[in-house]
Amino acid sequence: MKYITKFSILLVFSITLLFAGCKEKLDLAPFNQIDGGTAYATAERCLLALNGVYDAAQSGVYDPLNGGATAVRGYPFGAAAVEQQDMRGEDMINVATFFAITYQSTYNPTSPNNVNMWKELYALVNKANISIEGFKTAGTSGIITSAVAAQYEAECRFLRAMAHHELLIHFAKPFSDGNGAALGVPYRDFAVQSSSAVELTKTLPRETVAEVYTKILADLDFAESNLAVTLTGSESTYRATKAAAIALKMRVKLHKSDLPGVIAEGGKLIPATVNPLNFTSVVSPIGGWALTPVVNGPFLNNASKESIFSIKNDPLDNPQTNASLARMYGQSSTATGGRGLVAVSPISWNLPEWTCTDRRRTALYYNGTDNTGNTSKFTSKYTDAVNQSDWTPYIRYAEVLLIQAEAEARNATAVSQRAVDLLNTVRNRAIVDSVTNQYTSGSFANKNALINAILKEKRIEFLAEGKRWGDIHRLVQDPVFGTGGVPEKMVNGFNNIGAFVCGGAVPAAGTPFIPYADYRFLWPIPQQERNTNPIIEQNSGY
Amino acid sequence: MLDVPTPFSTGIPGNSISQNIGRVQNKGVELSINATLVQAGDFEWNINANYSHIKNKIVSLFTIGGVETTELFPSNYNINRVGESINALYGYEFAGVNSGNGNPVYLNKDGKYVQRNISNGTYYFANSLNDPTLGAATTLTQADKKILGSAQPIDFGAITNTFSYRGISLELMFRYQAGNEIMNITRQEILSNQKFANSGKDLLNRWTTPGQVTDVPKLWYNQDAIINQNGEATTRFIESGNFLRLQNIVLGYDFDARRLQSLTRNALRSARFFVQAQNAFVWTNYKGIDPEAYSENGQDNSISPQVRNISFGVNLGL
Repeated sequence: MKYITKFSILLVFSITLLFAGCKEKLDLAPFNQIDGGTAYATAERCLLALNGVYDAAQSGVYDPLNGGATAVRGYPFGAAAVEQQDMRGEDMINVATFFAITYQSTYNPTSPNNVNMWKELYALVNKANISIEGFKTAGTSGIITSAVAAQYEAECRFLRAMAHHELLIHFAKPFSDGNGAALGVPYRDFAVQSSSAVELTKTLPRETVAEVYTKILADLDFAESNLAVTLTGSESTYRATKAAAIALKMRVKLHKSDLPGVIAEGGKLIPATVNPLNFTSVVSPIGGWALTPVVNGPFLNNASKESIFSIKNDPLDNPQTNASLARMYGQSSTATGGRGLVAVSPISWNLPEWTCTDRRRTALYYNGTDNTGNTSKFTSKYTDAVNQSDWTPYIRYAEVLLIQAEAEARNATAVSQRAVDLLNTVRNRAIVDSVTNQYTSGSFANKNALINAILKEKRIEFLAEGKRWGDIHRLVQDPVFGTGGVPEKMVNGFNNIGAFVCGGAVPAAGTPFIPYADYRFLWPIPQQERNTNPIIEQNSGY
Repeated sequence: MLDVPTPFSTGIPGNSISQNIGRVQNKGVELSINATLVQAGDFEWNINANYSHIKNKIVSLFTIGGVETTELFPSNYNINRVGESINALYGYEFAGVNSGNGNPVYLNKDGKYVQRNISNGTYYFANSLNDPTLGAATTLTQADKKILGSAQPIDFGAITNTFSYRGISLELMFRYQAGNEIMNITRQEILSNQKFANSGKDLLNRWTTPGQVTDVPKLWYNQDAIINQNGEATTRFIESGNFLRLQNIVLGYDFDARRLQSLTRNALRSARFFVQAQNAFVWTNYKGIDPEAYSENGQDNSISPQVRNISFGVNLGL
């Protein structure tokens, strides 16, 4: 059997030259056609290759799987990760049909959303792996310094860790189930650019969840040691920095319930004493990250001091009209191109912990027209529906503070003052008259009441940012705070604006609860993966 | 040499590498007949007919890790299975609409009725096609899919009749094709717009009242992907691709060359008038726009039909 293998990294073209009796030679290495062998031949090209890996994180190729044309839809992290997590959770509403399969958990091994998420996360991983090899070679041959090579590798390993963690929370059971004994996903840590590497992948079964976590953390440890503390201007947000690696480690360790681990990581990014009433004075010793003065600060400025890591979009390169967050989450409007397809749910809007005078209610949400012409509640976190240039937030400093708050609260026996302070630091930015209204340790009868307040604050603060499913997944088996499965949601397309009442009752849910034991709690492994690589076991029930 | 799909988890762009995919066997017969049926005076009727019969079978596929592959899925709607024809249509067998509740009903791998509850997309057993009760919860998965038809035509050919009488000639060319099935994705997905704008007319036959026997399930706003099993092949949208097409009609008149030359003092050596119609008629039961508007794997997904072309012409030889 004869193999002809062909891989493109950034721009790879195979050139066949056929000439007869021609003396002039064509340019064998045209300037605009770079193959795998020369993609890392200069320092500029190395940087371009790294850019290409970030581009893969922003958006690869979405295949509708019906024979139709492929498109750009922000898979994995440019938009889809946010949308899919929000649509799996109960805090946002799917207005029409766009995300109905995810919202109603009717996915199967060939439904496009989950298939493309799997496919594009691994496409990102392979681009990262190929570039890691390229940077190592370029580093040893002196094309770039070994320090730069290590930094680029660290950025790739940060993205690789990010991708595998996203895979875990959709396709595998949480760490809490048997301490990571459940089936995880294959961790790809070598470049696949030959048919022998393809054959090697077909011998590697799904690793356990614990094994994947170990490898994610190893990548993030390497990233922390080798990433820059700050980069030039807005690069500090759209490229990985030391603080981004530490922050992601906090999130990952919280998923592992490694509380001392979270607290140790958080200690690197949060001062030992904080003054919650002067919340902007809480500044990370690494990178200088801090909360913005106003609640919509991180959204008015893509590269705000709070935006530790975001995926960059711009008018020329974005997830486009079928995915960009501003169009999907913004109200339907012919003037802006907004489509009103994802609305806020009364389940989150009416949370009793969310005070009526909270500044986030007015600064970040509005009543608007949904895709079906009805009035509903929308977010203005994504402001530019016209040019779709909003960056996609991944980790904000507010999350660092709230992760640390939860870990401190859980790790203490009584109500942890440190946890209360960290919670207040985030919440005081939003509530009015924080001097009198902020929480005190006396606000909480016991530590569980405090943990509950922190978890609710996370839902409020990160509403419409695709953080909800991660916590549902992480806590599903938690006897006190767990949902026990996919929570019940409003009916698909719910649009009664009268139901949005601060602190009010939530109307009857129309999308039923799915228990954790039901197979639909996990996404299925894509059928094409199973067909071509039978060693990857399917999640049971599919 | 075809694209062999690679596992998604390798992250290879396009998810395939080109290599020898396997062996395919084509067996068949080709016949061609030329005959002059009538030759009486100036009248002549010639017929040219050809016929091809091809049975296409996959003999073997590539190996994965030393193990022979027996199945390969070129798309959601197709399968390449050893022993079957290439790109065979593959999906769920639609049993009909439950006249009691309007749910679509499928046959699972054991031949049992499985209905899809439109409100939540979950599958339940059905006792019969008219009992509205939802039986025990079940699933409809990859294991329930079966081969639903050949994407490749088995019989095809053309018949050309030529009639001539003095300078008048008439040519009628028919083409025919049979044996292939088409997954009419266009018809499936045009049902997705439930605002009754740009929708397929199948919606007019939707189930509305208990006892109504129809093959279009009830509507439920925003549940169209569930109702129509979007993204999957089902026999509900698979149709026979048989057709007979009047491909070409040419009616022509040639002036007598000798008279013409003497009339025009050799200025014109020949002249011919003709009227030609291409793709004049199609006889088919296929519901889509054109029974030949499908891709190589038997999918009609908004593909442009052949145009109907009528032309008039004059040929002058100077």
